[in-house]
Amino acid sequence: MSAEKKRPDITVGKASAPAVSAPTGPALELGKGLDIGTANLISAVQDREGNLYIKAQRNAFIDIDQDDFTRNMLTKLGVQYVILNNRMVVVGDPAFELANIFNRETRRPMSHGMISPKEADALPIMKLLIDKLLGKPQVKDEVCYFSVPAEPIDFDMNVTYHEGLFRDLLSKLGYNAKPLVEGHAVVFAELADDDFTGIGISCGGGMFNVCVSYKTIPALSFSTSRGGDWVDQNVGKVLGIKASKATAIKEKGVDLRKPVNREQQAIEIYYRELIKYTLTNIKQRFEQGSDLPSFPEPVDIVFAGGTSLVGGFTDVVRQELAKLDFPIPIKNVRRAEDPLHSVAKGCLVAAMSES
Amino acid sequence: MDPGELQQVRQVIERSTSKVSLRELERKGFRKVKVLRSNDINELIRKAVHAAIGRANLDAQQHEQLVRESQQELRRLMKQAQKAATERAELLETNRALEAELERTRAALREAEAQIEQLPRLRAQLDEANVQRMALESRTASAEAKLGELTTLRTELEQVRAELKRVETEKRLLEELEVVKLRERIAQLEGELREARAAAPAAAAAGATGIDPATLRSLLKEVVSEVGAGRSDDGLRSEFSKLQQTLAAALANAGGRSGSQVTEADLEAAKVSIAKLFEHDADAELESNIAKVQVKESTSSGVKSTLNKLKSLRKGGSAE
Ligand SMILES: Nc1ncnc2c1ncn2[C@@H]1O[C@H](COP(=O)(O)OP(=O)(O)OP(=O)(O)O)[C@@H](O)[C@H]1O
Ligand SMILES: [Mg+2]
Repeated sequence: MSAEKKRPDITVGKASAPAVSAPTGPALELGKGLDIGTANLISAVQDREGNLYIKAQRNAFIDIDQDDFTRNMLTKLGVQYVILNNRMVVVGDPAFELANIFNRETRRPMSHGMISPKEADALPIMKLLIDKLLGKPQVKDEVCYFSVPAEPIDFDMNVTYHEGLFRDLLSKLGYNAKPLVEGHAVVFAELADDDFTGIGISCGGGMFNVCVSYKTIPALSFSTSRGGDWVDQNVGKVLGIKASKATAIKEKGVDLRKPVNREQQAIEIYYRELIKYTLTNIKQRFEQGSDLPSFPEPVDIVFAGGTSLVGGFTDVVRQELAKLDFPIPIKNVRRAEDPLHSVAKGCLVAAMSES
Repeated sequence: MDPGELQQVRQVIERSTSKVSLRELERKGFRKVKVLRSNDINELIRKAVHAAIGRANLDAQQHEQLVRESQQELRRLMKQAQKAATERAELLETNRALEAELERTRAALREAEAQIEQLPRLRAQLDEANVQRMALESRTASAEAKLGELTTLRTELEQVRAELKRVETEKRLLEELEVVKLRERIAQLEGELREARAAAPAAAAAGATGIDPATLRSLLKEVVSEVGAGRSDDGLRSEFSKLQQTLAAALANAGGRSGSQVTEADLEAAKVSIAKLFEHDADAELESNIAKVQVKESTSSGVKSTLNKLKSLRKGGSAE
């Protein structure tokens, strides 16, 4: 199957209905989940046997000089590229490796959870990536829930534009596209045992998304513009290195409980700040808000997203929580079993519940 | 004199004299020495004794007696001399050892004194080093604290700056678009007005304007809300293509030319700012190997039980 044929017709002014794909591989349940993240694009589907299939693409790229040799080489190495404006654009994880090799920054289609106005170039690339992750719908207008940021509280950004853009993109791929705020997706994926009551937080690359839910209903949800990227940028600045380099150091494995060198100390400092910032914002929002449910029983607070992967994350949360007079009684502080895929899973749950 | 006595004489001489090397003597200025053999000394003693006895007119028995006694006396004296000599040698030996010891002690003392002299200087150096270390430590600590503060502040400042810039840009863009939309609509309405006037010359002749300002305002309002709500792709696109025209006109105006002289360059410039908004539709001919490359895929246990809980909760009541 060539990229050409796979691509839906996008001629302006013609509502296009792409052909429904002949099912290949395992027979899937109807409904798909898609996490459109600043750092990662992740899809989730489930087969009839109840197995979950997760596909991931790193949402980053870097452009390099193109020639036939490089083109063949990249395909042989399994590295994805796109030719855009006569430049060769390497997509996904390898972009990070190349960035570190060339000591350059990767280009990022999104920042702070939303499509970046600086990188409008990148939309066609994201479209290809999403197409590749989701494949064709199994039936016409198959439901696909996709994650969107909740209203940012510290960042003036129009979520509606971002949401509209992806709704549009997905419907052109043949899906009945529905948005789900990211924190709510975490609640769907992780809080089933508590009747979907508690606090779900997605700790992403571009932002943190918080959802306080009472019996599946979001009582409070918001996002902040600080996430893993914020840590990387600040660590980069303090140490005088590129943010991509800081990302690499961070992802290699750091334990916040015992940082062993200057780099790790810097990471610990900014992580703690980030966690404090998030908890304080929840506290303030919750205390200011009206019509908020009171939680007579303590609830769980569950963290998902790549930024929660760092060692000792929940310990630091507990430490910072103890310093606050937190308005919601907390039972357990825990991390999702599979933090990177939680949001996509939550979107899948939402999609399947309507299919 | 029997050989035993001779031996003893030799030993006495041995102990009561000291050996001096010839070179030593020479150094001290002695060029010639007289050598006295121990045998000769014995002989001298013997002769002296016999001479003394001979002079004493003794009979044989007395002579015998005297010789015996003097031999005994000699032996006793010799023994005594021998003992004294031994003691003296021992004393000398002890003395030498003591002197050596003394010399060693003196040397040690001199060394210790020299070291003591150095002590205050070393102490001062140590104090100085300590002070420097302490100063450095406190400087480092405060510098580190400041650095932390500074980086946070700087980051925050940069964020605020970036946000400000972005907000300003967005605001300007929105204003631009809004103004352009309104201008375009006004132009359109003016056109309509002209047409209406042309179509109704009688009314125009009678001096009626056709559209009163209130109607114009409400029409404008309607258009603005239409444009804002027009989220359908077709609608948006046509709105924007109109906008492009008027933006080009606005650019031409801004360049000091009249609105009727819209050039190719103006149209191009107008496209640049609007094209970005629709770039996602411009991907029809992208070349890529994405379809050929395998993406990361993982499987895990599904969401069935979660789904069931959600469904039963939605039907009403608790999932439990
Ligand atoms: N092992 C790790 N330790 C710490 N951070 C990690 C680790 N692995 C990934 N990350 C970070 O997690 C972030 C990406 O997480 P995730 O995929 O959940 O974000 P996203 O959903 O793409 O972003 P957002 O939700 O903000 O739009 C990145 O900042 C990445 O550096
Ligand atoms: Mg996310």
